[in-house]
Amino acid sequence: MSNTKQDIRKTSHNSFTLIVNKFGVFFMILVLSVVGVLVSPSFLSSTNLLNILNAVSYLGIVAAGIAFVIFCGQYGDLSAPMTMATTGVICVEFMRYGLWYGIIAAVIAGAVIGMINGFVIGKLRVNAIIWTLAMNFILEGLVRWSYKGTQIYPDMATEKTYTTGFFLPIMAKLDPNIMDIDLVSRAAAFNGLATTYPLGVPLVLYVMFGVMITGYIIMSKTTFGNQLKVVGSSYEVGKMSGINATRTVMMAFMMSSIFASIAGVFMTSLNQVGAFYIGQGYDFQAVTAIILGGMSLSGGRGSMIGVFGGVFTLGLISNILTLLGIGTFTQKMITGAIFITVVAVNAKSLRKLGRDYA
Amino acid sequence: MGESAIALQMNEVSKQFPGTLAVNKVSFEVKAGEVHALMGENGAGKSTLMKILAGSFADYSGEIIIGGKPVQLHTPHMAKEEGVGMVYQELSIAYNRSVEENMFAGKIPTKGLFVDQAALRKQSLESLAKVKLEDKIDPGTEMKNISQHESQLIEMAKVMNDNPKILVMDEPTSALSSEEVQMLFEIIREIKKEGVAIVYISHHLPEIFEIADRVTVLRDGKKIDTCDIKDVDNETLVEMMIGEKIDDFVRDCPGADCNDVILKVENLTHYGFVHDVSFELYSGEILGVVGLAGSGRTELGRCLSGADRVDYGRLVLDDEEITVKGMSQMLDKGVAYLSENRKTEGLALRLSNRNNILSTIIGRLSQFFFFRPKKGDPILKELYEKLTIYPHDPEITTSNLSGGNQQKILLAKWLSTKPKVLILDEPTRGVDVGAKKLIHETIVKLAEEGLSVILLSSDLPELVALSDRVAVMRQGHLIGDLTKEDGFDENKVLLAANGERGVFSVEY
Amino acid sequence: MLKNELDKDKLLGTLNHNRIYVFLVIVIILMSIGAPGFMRSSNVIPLMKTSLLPILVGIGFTFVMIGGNFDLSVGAMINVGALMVMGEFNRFYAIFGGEPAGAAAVFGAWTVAFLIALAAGSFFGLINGLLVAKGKVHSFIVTIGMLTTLSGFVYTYSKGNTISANSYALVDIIEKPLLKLPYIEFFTMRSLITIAVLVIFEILLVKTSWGRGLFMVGSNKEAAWQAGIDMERKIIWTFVISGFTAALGGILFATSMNAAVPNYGERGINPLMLVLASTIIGGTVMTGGRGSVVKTAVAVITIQAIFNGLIGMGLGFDSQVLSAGVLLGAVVLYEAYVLYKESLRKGERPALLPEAEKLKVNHRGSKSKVSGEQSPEAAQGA
Repeated sequence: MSNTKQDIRKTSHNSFTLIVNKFGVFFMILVLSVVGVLVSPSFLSSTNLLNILNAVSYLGIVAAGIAFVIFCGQYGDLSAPMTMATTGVICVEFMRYGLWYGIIAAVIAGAVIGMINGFVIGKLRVNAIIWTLAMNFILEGLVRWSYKGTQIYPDMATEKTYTTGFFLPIMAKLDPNIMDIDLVSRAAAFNGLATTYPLGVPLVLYVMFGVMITGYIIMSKTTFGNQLKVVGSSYEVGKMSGINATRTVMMAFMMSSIFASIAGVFMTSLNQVGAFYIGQGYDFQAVTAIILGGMSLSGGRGSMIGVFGGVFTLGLISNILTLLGIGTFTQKMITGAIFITVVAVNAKSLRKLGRDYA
Repeated sequence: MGESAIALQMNEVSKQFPGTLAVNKVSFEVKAGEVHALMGENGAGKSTLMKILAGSFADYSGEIIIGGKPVQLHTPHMAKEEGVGMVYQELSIAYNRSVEENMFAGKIPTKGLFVDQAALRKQSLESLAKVKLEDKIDPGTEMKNISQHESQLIEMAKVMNDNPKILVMDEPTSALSSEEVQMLFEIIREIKKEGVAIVYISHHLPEIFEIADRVTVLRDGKKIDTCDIKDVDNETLVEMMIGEKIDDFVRDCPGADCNDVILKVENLTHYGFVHDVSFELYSGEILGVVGLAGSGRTELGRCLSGADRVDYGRLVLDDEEITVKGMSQMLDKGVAYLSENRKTEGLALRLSNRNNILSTIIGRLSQFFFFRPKKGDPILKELYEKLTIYPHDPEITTSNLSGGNQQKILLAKWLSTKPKVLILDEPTRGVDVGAKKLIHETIVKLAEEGLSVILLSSDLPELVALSDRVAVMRQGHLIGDLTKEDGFDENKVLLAANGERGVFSVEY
Repeated sequence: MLKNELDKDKLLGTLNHNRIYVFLVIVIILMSIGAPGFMRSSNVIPLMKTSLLPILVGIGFTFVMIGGNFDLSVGAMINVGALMVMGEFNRFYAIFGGEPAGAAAVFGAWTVAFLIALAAGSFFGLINGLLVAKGKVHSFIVTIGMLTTLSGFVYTYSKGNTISANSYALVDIIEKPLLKLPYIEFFTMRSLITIAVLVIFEILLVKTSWGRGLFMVGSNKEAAWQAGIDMERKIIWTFVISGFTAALGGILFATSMNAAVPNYGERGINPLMLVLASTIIGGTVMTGGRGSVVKTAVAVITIQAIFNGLIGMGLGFDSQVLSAGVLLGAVVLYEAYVLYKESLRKGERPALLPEAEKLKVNHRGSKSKVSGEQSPEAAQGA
């Protein structure tokens, strides 16, 4: 009765939807580019394109990290904004010993935050949204509480500065000569991070591409990335395939937090101040970019190339709206509406194919 | 009960699934006030037949007559309206809510705008009285705090609230102790007195003889016969269920001279799941493990493979003493476990076949943190040929394959790890005849090549045909062995699993 | 022995369900000791008044969570309600003739403005609900998108400015104490409306078959479906209620101040954090199926009491943010840990438990033979 030859059903259909899923975002970019050219002739100029990329470079770094979490089937990392702020502050604290000290301290702090997130979510199976939201609030509380509501400026330090903060009081205790540090030149180096333009291109853009490429390699070429794909598709299957699912989830969250900490360092440098509100809104924007880029919220599907496409799309939309003279807030509204529409349409088309929903 | 009215009549009912005819023109009838047992091996079509009755399928063919009136049962709601009540094996209970809310979900009594709490309490107690729990359970208790056995009775009470004419119970005793079974039977007898027709699905022969009035046996989707329980005995029933083997594949090489012990298990215990299990496994041997639902068969497999915790016991694999730490460790040591839940634990259906098959050996195919998919190509090619998986393209998404081919992919996934001991939990569940035969052949070939297999299966012909030895589990314990030298057949195995002593070669 | 254990479980369960009342009492005692003047009328009344907004928002949030979803857009909904009631009042006040037209214009304009603002909140909630229930998109995604859309919307609506009503008539009515007595002063139109809405929704939840059905949906979708409960419609309603109560909270808050800002909660304590923490601490289960709006309200008051007490102890505003975050984190962890422990025992055979106890004793005696020690990974497998 049974005939194994019947099993080729739907395969051709599938590869078509696969292409749409994979490259739909680039079709969107094409359409937006046409619209852009119609709106302004200078749209395709290299200056404008560079502007677009520059504007989304911070977002690109954060999105590359959160993409690991969504690939892992965990919906998102809402602690990213405060991870950015916290690590930015920590970077400012440590950059007084040298820029690299600051950056390394920030990345370590990011890794620790990610590890905690990953442990709680991977081991205790807490809803990722609730936990990372709670983590975001905890971090916000930590930063605001330890700074007693003040902000930290890289180039300014009085006696009072060393009474607040995470590590500053300890630093002052360990090193009585801390006031003698040449803060001005160190702060200049730190603040310069966001304003350096090697070869006429902002440094942060290089970093974004670096992070994206690293992310791409980790996600698709490494042992971890391939195990993540299985765990992301189905946690239970991953676990029952002899993959250490807890560790895999933990590493996904660590990727997210480490990338967020890199973005946090640059963001803090750009603002020339460390404060709790740096990074606000990046969680949602990153998730928007990732979903636009065709990554499935149910995990295991999508790629870093799509994420880049999604990030670039957001940049294009914002650029075109600005060229049209539409204000930031209306832009936010429009982006939100586009996001909801894309997600709804995406969910519907997936459901029609009898697949799981976004 | 004498001659009473026909409550349910099914005429030439069929249900087609892609690839198989699960129910093939089955006709049978149930009288009001009788307990009608429905028996058959796994895959015989009992569950499908009952799901038709419960309105789970919109596309069955044939005629169903309830109380003399032809009815259409295309949705669960229609079935309920026509007086069909189902108690599934998997209880549908909201554990966060109280007993009374569960019992009256969707039909809570109201007075004006509000819930009539007094009436709800009164009705709940009346309803609980039907299952003799009115003194034992406060209807306000959360379901979470109710034992499994009482939950089942509550589920029954809930179904009885709709005053069904026909009550279907699917393996109701699988999780119950013998006293609890007795209590359940008492209640079934009460319900029977009220003239309700009861369809009782079970594997447990002694229970059938105790509670049923008549029995219908299904085999391969067809009805074999309906008889009065007085006219049959254990042996005849088993013979009816098993019949002539369709899968007449018998292993000719029983691996008789394989005498090296590859795996030695002593007092393996996972508290509350598996207690004090000891056995030895020889290389090249196929050890069948049989046990009724709830006997701890699957749990034994999970413990051995590191999927579940091992609280106590000793494990020696290939002369190496092993402390079970987890699945990846056991996989490295050479123990692979094919789960019975293909869809939830076995395969990531949204991934490609390649991804699924290689998922167990990502680490092994890696060098310096980098995964080398190319290294998997020869493995894929070999497994595709060995298992004749169709279509040949490993990039196809697994969800697009038939059940049989998916099961082959699952087997391939575990074979890719090159295990020393392969634990197969229901390796042919939901698989068509062709694929089943192929999987059986593969298992035997593997054993001949020296692989030791532990076969956990409720498919008796399969178990008997493939196994060199059959170990019997009952209520978390391994209670005995049946060896090939002494001879075993399905009959003997089924009796042993049902707790009949004296059939064992070795008894623990 | 098993029976005893069940009773113990039951007792602990009951205690856990009502933990928020225990919490409140403990907090009150601690704060009364630590912060002098904590129980004074002049301290209690502001404390209660700051609780009014989160209590209203918490109603809808709790409903949504009981249905098994999240509404992260409540913060933006507050702003929608607040700004629209002010903006629409000014618009209609002018249409109805402004000051010369007297009380009739004021009354008419407020009525219309209230209705429009409430309708806006409910409408956005409806969209959330439709996308979640019919579109089958995860509620987190839908509502975070709505959050962004609405925060853009409120800035566009208000052009980034604070909007004040062109009449002070309502402030006087809505914030005027009914009786000028210590403690009793708390009762104003605003607090009474809040309490009334709270009671109505608690009744809807607990006393009607609609509410019982919602619990069923949140607790076990399969069981609800078999019982013939219309799940989609219930889920949509929970989001409408959430939009409605959040907008109402914003409306009452704005009218009590006679001003609305587009960024309420962006720099201070995030209302979402407060409401989420209160809902979870108040015993609403994260996966749905259990919860109470009254308990959420009590949790709001408890957290506000902690905040207030921290200030009274001389700790800064920032300690409030930290304490709320830590409290939320601790409760989420606790709930998760309990569920995790339960999951390890899933599938256990009760019939084997007495024997398991015996075996445990025996095995402890012969420890040398233990080879299967518990490891993190193995434990996780269960």
